[in-house]
Amino acid sequence: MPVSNPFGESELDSPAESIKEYAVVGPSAHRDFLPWHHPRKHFVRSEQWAFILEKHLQLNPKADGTIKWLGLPGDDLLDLRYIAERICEPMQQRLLFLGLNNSIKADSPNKYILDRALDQMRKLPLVDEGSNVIVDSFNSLADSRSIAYQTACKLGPFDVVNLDLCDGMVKNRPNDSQKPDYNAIQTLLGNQFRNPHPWLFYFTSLIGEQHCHEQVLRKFLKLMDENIETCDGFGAAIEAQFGAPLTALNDPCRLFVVNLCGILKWLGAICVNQTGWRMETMVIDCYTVFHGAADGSDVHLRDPSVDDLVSVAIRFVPKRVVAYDPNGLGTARSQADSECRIALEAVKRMKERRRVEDCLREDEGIRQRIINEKMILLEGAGYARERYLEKVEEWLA
Amino acid sequence: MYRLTYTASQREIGPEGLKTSDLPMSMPAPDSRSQGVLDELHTKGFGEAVETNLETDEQVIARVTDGIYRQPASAFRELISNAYDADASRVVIKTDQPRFQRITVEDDGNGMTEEALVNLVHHIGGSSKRSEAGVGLRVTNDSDSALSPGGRRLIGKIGIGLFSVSQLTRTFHIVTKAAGTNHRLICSVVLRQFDGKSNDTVFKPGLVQIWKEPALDTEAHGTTIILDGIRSTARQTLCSDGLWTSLRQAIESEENAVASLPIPRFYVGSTDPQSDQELIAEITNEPAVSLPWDESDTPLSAFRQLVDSVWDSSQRQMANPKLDSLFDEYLQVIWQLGLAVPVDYVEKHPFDTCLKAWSGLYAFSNKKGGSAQQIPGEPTSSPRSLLNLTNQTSPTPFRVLFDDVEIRRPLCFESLPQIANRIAKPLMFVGQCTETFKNQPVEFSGGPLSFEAYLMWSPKILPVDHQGVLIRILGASGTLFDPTFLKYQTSELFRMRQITCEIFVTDGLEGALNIDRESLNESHSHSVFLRSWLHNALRQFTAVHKRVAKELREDDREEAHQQVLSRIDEVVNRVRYSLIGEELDALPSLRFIESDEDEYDEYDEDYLILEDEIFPQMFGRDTVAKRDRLEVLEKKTEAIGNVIAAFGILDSLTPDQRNLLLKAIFEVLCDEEIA
Repeated sequence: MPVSNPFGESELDSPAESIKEYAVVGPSAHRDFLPWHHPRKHFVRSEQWAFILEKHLQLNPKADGTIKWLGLPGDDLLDLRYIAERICEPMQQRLLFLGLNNSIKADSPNKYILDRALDQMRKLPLVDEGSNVIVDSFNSLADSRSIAYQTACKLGPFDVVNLDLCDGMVKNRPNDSQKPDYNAIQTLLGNQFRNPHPWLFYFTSLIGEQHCHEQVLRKFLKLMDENIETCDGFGAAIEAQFGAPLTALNDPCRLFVVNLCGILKWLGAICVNQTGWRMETMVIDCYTVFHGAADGSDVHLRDPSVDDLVSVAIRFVPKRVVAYDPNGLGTARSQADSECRIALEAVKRMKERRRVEDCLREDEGIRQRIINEKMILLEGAGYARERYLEKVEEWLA
Repeated sequence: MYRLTYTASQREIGPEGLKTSDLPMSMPAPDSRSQGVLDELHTKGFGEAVETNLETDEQVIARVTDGIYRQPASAFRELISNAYDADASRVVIKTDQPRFQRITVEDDGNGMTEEALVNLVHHIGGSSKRSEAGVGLRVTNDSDSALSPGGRRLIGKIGIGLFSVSQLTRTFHIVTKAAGTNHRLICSVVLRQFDGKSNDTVFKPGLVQIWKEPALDTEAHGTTIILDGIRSTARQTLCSDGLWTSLRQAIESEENAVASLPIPRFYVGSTDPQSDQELIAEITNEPAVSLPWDESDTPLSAFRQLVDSVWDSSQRQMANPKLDSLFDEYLQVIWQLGLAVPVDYVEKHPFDTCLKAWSGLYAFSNKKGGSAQQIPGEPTSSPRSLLNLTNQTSPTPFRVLFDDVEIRRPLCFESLPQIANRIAKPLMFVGQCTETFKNQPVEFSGGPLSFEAYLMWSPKILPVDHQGVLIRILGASGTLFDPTFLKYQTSELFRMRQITCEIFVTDGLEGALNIDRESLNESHSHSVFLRSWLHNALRQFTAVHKRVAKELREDDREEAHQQVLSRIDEVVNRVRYSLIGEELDALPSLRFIESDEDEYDEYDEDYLILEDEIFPQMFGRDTVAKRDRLEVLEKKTEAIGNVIAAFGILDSLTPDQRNLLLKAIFEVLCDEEIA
């Protein structure tokens, strides 16, 4: 009697391929304009990122002539191209960039946009051959075993870190292992504090109600209260800048203050604990992009004068560090920054914040320059001028 | 079939008898060229031939899209060759190691026009290079289709080179831009698996889309190839997955086998299969990543560290490191590319290295049975300057960066670590040959063959993989080192393991390359000649090496012998000095004369000794060793005599007694030899 199929069905792994279908992926049929093609975004790119970098380089010329930039670029790499053209070319600085972009998939038409842009960038004579965009998310920096972290360590520390986040910087729950954004920032700052020179930290974040986790918000409120109690002038500064004590501010404004100030205080506290660094909040630009929660409950909608997206430029400056002498024979002290000073400066800069849409509306010259620059950038990315100008009219209407 | 054979043999099929429609149903219809040959054949009578050309089965050539290489390095090599042929000065390869999901190969070469790109995808396996078509497509030089537009000698085959990526991926896209154009061309390709069942005349191995994108950077040029769907097998190979999987399994099962797993000294590691975030896997008791360079290294110094790590390892736990014991697959790829592509040496070209680096420079004779000739020269002169050698790595700058490591040829010819050997420094041999095959028609010979070569002997060749001969055609090589020296038959295997050799072919041999460009057709006239030349060179090398070693052995022996004699003299001088101080000549000493010597009165202050009476031919002086031994014995006899004389004892003896005494001393000393 023969044994019935002693071999069984095959359960061995066949080679798993990332391509699932025998089809060639072509270009996208339509390329719509995206929110970050809005002139206000370019205002930040020009008037904050490029402007501050230019000043920074004038004050701190790079000995090796290479600007190292870490960012989260979009597929068309507009930020990088703008910096290359606006800063690197006239100042004859090389640009070494590392971009993290996890939207590139083998079966996505978007990959062509990025690869085309990357090809264009890397063919610029002042772009360092080590520059690259890798397929990794920002929060993968949180783990030292990630390829993103290893690459950042290899190329860094950077002169500019630009976290242009699509979402809220503090949107996620703390200690969320699936979304370790806070750990990523912590790790990134740790890597950056190896820098012997001053460096710039740009971040862009939504700070509306929907973009700040309630646990984080509570933490920020507690920090604010502590500042009011222990930091001379902090409560008064808020009152002076915003017209009322924190507790008396209306919801949108209070949320704006707590959220943004909270982020700055959080970063400042990390800096203070990192002996030998000073944090300087330089510029805050803001505008409104979020159109409310689905149920229309977003508090910002109740006060159009308060924006929900901020772009902040911070400078970290290394200070003198001396070894601690526990026996007190040596009395020299490291120059540590003060959380109170950072908090006071944050309030001051918040008051001085630029409302980008107002700037564009009120200054014809700057509006035209921004639109023109953006139009040229987008044209280089394959968009038609006319279509862009039409879109701008629609946006600014 | 039987019937057809029968009828044919009976000449019953007339000229009009064979038509396409008569062919079996399974046979594909002939293409127009084949039909033309058939039609012409039909008009011919018996014994009237139709002349045509051999043609290829397109499916066979199309199989290059199916992967014809065994190693991932081959695909990189071919892409780099294409970039070189496109006049690139720089190729930048980037991988996301150790994940290996995305690889880009970017060059700053000429880029492709629409025509060249379309021709490329329609002629897989073919090459517009070295053809008139290549001129029109702007992939070759206007005046010479064997040159790139910029004048480089072409080294690759574009149709095979590009599709060699099928080794790595099923899908890739090309972004290419020619200078002076206002657009980039993008070509997206997906390749299918060859199933061997298709009967189509034209095999379609993949799907393609080509389109233009506007570009403002009109003067930019170059080609970037993006591989973003890397095959799992290629990924596994590149990250040495087999090794790490075995390691993990051994750890999980707590086997003792962990210790015996051959973990290379340097590796990029792998991603953790348990991690959905593709984190680099931890390795028990080992760092997750181990590289010979660190973050502070420049691309070039990183490569130097890679090269230095080989000799460094030989001075640690590995006496004779091999690449696969030292490096993981990824680092081996970098190393192999260094050997394969036309980049500079990590230090100097051997032809530009100063003579002081070696024990000697020799030139091979091209004569049958000829001898290598030593080339004299100043220590600072080089083989190139002394012998007018012409080979260079590349006539124009060409750099290759692989994940920020600048690839060079990992071969050094000077300042090699000292290995205990009688020949302290390497021996360098160089050769130069042009063969025109004038006794053969060019259709058989394949045209002239020209090459230059060096052969370096060193007590140790490291890594072991560099023992052998590496053949470069126009600076590129797919064959790596052949440890058999093209099947050289010799019993001197140890000596052969002390040789590393490169042959730089500047004209010819391309026709002898098989389609994978990694092996030679051994029966090709150029292969046959090259093998013959190499074996002749090896015989010359062996003769020189043996001679030099022998000379050095004799020098060593003579030096040791003179030291013995000198020590004996020192004993005598010490005694004499203690007796008389500085005026050593004031004391008489022995002087040996022949018994038939007449004129010795002038030396009457010395003690005359009859040499032939004291030192008879007691044993043969037929070998150097025996000669030396006897000389020492004579010297000792003389020394003892002089010591005795210094004390004045010989004064009381007659000349005959002196001779008798010396003879007795000599015989006592010789007793052992006599026995």
